[in-house]
Amino acid sequence: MAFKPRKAQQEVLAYQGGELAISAVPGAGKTTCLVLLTTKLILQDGVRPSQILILTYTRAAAANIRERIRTALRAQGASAHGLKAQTIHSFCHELLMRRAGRLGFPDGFQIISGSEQDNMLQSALLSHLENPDHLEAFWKGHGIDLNKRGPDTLSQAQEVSRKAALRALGIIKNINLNLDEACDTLEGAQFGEIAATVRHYEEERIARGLLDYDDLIRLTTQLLEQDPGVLAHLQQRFRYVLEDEAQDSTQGQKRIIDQLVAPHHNLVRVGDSNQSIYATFTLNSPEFFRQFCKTAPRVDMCESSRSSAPILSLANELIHYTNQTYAQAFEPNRVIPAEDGSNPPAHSSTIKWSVHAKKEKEVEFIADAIKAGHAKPVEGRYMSHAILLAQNYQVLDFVHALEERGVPVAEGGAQGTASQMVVEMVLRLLKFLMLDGHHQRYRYDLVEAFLAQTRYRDGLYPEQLEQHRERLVRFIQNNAYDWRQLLSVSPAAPLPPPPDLNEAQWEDFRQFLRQAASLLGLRHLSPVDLITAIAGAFFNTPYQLSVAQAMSVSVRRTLYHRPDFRLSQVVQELEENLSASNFRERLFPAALEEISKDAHTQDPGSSPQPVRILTMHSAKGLEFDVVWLPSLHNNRDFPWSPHHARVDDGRVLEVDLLLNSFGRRETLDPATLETKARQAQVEERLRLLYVGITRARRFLRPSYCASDWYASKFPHLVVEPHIVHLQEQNL
Amino acid sequence: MSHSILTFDAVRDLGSAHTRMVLVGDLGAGKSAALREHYRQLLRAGLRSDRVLVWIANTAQAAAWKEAIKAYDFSHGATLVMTFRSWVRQELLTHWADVEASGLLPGPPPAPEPTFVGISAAQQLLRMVVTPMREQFPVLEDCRTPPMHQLIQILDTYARLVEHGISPLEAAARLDTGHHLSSHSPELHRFVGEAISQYRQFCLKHRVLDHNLQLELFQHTLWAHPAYRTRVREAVDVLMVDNLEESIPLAQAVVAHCGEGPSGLVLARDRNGGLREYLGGDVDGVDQLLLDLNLETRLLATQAPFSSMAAALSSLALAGFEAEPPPALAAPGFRVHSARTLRVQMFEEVSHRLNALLDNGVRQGEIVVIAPVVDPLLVWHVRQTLAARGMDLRVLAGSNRVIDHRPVRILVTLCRLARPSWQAPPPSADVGEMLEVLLGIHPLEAIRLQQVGYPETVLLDPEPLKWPQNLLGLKEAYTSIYRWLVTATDTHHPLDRLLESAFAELYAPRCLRQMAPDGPDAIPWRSDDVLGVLQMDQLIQGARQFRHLATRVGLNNDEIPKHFLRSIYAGELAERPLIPRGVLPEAVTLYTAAKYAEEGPCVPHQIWVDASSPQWHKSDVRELTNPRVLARHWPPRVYTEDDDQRHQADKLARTLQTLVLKSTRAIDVYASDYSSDGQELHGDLSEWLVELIAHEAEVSRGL
Repeated sequence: MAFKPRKAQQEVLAYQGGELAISAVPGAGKTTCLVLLTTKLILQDGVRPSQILILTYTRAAAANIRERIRTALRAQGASAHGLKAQTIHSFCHELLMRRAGRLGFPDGFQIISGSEQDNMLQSALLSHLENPDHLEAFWKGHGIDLNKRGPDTLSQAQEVSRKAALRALGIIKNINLNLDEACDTLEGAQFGEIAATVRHYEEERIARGLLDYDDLIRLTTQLLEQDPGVLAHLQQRFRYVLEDEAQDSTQGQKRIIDQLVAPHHNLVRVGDSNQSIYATFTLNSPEFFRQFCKTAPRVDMCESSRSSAPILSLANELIHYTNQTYAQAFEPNRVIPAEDGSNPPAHSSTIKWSVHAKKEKEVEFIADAIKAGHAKPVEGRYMSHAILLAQNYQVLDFVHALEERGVPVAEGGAQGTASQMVVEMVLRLLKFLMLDGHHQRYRYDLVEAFLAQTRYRDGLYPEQLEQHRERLVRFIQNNAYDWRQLLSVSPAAPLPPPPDLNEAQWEDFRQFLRQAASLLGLRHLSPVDLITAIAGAFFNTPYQLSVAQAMSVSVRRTLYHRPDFRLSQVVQELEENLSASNFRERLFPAALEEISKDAHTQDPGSSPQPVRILTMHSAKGLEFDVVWLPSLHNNRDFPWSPHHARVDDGRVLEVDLLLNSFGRRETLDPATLETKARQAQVEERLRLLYVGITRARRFLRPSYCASDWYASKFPHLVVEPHIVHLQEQNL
Repeated sequence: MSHSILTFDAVRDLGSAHTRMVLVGDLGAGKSAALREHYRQLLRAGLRSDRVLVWIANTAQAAAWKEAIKAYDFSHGATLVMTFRSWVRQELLTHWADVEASGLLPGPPPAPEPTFVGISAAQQLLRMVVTPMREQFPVLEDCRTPPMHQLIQILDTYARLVEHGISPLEAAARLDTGHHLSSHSPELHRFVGEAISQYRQFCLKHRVLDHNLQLELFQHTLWAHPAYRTRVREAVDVLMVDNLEESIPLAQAVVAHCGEGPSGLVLARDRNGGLREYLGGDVDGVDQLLLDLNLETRLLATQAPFSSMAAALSSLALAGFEAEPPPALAAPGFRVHSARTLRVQMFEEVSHRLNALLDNGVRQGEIVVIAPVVDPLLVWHVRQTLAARGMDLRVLAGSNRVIDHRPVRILVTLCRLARPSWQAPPPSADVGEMLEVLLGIHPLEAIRLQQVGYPETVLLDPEPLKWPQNLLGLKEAYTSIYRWLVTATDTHHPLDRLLESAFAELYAPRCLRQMAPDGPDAIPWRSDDVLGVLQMDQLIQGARQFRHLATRVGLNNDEIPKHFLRSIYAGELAERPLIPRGVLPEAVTLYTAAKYAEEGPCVPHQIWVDASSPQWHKSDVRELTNPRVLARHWPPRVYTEDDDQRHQADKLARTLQTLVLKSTRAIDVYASDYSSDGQELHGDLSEWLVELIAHEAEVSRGL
């Protein structure tokens, strides 16, 4: 059957150049629209593929668009040769990489990850606070009474300052402020520790020849501004720029795009302000898209074929209800089912709310329900399930509950556990290979490495793990003092199996020891090669190997600047890096996450899919047959009242405002500032809920906890009126 | 000027001492072979071998040529087959008195002959000169390039100046036209100019000549003298030059001069060469030279199997984003594996391919792996694959520190232990490693022994030590090492002698004894053992040369070892990039693309890795240098983005064309979507290849 564009899509396809704003509701088919528009430009308007630049928000989206355009063109006997579809950071990275020499960077310069950046900021802050005068000013700046401080006061205050410094860095680089002037301003406004942290971080970063993500944007804007040749080259090449997810644009991204399209203004921006969910904690802002929509010709794509009608109604109701109180939260774009009737059918059970006495019950309920349903096909298809959470910390509860029931779980849980296993094993085995200092310590490192492997492979509970650890430690203490025996180097005197391990367990341990012992002959290798050797000996999935690779890249980066670092120093640095982050996976390239995402959406419907457990933020752009939205009672995550909103410390907000209004002399008193921040947070969280709801295709399962017990235990957590209202819509 | 297309056989029959012609063809057309055959015929016909001068582009090819000469079935005298730079060095030595007499060298000569040094020593000397200058140039604080790379870029700048006959004073002005992005560039360039001037003066004063100074002195002393030029022309009956397109202007001047006389002149030129343009090669100069010489041109037809692919890739690279979508090519044997992959998956695929080739009977020496830059993880993966088959991987890509090799580290550790006066005791891990290797014991045992014998900074006397029962068996071996240390400490040998002693008395008897080359029980040397010996040899030679050099420039005797140690840890003493042929057993070799294009041999199987990396495109511009604006033809104008892009495209086109033509049977191309630190890769090459191949059967999409 020939594809028939919808009315709004036809309007888009009538595009003849110039500016165009496309506002598209969830499921409106904006990716399809971008693909159609691109192929139309190439096939009908004679534009060369290499003259089109498509900027997307995620790598997965870029890959998806590239592939779809390539396939569409190939079907017409045409080529996508030279087409660029990538994220803004990837675009900047490539641009700078090609000009690394003239900018003075080494070939193949490296980008630091978020947690490495965090770690460098922490070091910078600590080094500043070593001076007693600075420390005193720090306490004063945070308004902390030294007599009343608690045990965590210092670390909490440090975290706030670090966060503020991170924000300051982002603003300075994105709006291209002069570093010294910005830091002087911060110092003048009693943010001395933040200015010092930023300065120290930058010195260290430059000394190590590293770039962070904000540098990619900053250096690109500088390059385009300072070298007219580079800009002219790009302007000559890219005659059309298409920006996806334009509601998540940043000041820096906007500047780059504006420069690229300056001669011809052939710019198509596609977005949905109602899905702006990053503005309060990043530099992404929907304002740029909103402004663009006001000035450029606009097409509204309101038809959505993704979800069944009740789900779309619920999303519309959220907008309607919200706008009575928070007029700025949503644009009043109603989502309407597709005219061609392609939405999934509605059932009486399309949306089912559940209320639970406490969190544990809610988790068990959801896990049981998924176990009962996920392996049963509906109308000949297996349903894809996703549990969408507001925060990362809830992930493990669901992972454990599902794994206990034998339900396969996709990343967020399983991959995260794999990352932890790899990190733990690599670190422990490196420590084992150090073999210096206390000469018996290596035995315990071996046991811990073995347990990390076993825990991941066999899914041991904490109690089982502890029991296993006790047995092994007791065993090596009592029997295996001699390393020759322990590592079976001397086969003449093999160790007797311990009485409390069965034969399979004992053989398992011995096998592990044999593999570990084989690494001893490789101790002369560099730490980078050692990690790779460990990976080769112990890991076998691409994901595990990639995590190990990411660790070795981190080490290589360290050694590049400190070639004389010994293994012990490398291990120490790795440990510090890891302990600085609560989420170890963040050390590793986001690419891993996205690839594993892709891997689980390859063949939907034909077999039971692993359950996806992910945050609502990371679910953006995805869709599932069944979406579970638990813990809606948590009014920190889903606030209605501004008082319940979780906002950054005032110090972060003040830094934000100070630098964003740099040179404009705009001042706000702290109370007004906080009020504004709270309101912005409420509005964004409402949009986050909207995103969560609109991920569902066929079934939506919202739930929350409410009971007398719960109220007495957590009196501050009350179910907010908008949740109650939405639930009432379905009663 | 006449043109004709000849077969290789016809060229072979043209041998005459008065032949004056230029052989033109693509890579693989047989130009070098024709030259070699012509040379053989000349000698066979009785021409004196010392009257035939042959310039080869690089030392590896010169070594191959000399190997071929050894197989001649007739006797001949001394041969003059060498690189142009080797010839210059030889001429300087022969006519050194004339150089001194020119009056261009400052002060009285410190020795009757000059000292010639390589790149490592040049860096060491430059560091000595530049270090005190740093305070005068606070702008260096803002320089992003690490100090080690600053030295390399300064020497590169100097090399280009010399090759193109530009004065150091002009360097800063020329470089300024190459950079206009940074406000501190002019000051940095002034630093470069000043560093070159001071380095030059310093070296000339001590008569220490690196490659650049050799060329400069030759040009301004010997070659400037008409009598010398006449003598050169009279001394050569036939001049033969291979890879003329890579020659520097001075070499072209010598060719032009010889061409004016009655000498025979046979030149070989690759139509698409010019890979060394960024290293001083002057392709435009070659065009002019051939025009002036008006030689007979012989075209040789290319026989390479992928010549259409080479041409297509080259034109795609040259056209850049303005290229029209290419028509599909049928290129059996050219396979692109373009699945979206994690990096480790790409490495695993490469390993699988290697295994498949070796399983099918392909010899190790018939396979090369090519990457835009060398990724240590790639090296590790390939090395593991080969090690499982008892094979080794050779890496010819840039330079690595010699100190990163275990045998070298062991010798250095022994010397640091033997010389407490240096106040540079080795780390305990290095001592453990030394004990492990020299005593042939288990690593854990070595660590226990190190903890007993080397608790702090001195290796302890074994006698008063309280030996744990389980280490008693090692006491005797430990004592022998200790004895060597005591003797070595008492002697006052210089560092190179000390290193030699450590090698001869400890390392060789203990680690190489099973490799005695003679006798019925002889075990063939493994390539990594051979490499170890070569690396130790390089260390010892480096130490010896450094001592001579340091003495020459007046460095205090006590300071010499400290300077040398600093230099080897700073990476200035880098692993020899090229190993003479014939020394090592055959092995799979990993090259960077640029290195392979410039120096690699034609082989049946190439494996390209990282085809989606943007690093296939390489800009020549650096913070402290820009070879393009230092070329003699560069007009006094700003080096723009368009220039840079054009030069990158041109270089990539030449590189790709050369790579493809060097494969005689199959090319497998692999790509990953991600860089080693997880960044997306969108380089053009993999896309071009997918478009070119276009046949689904040839584009493997799954793993």
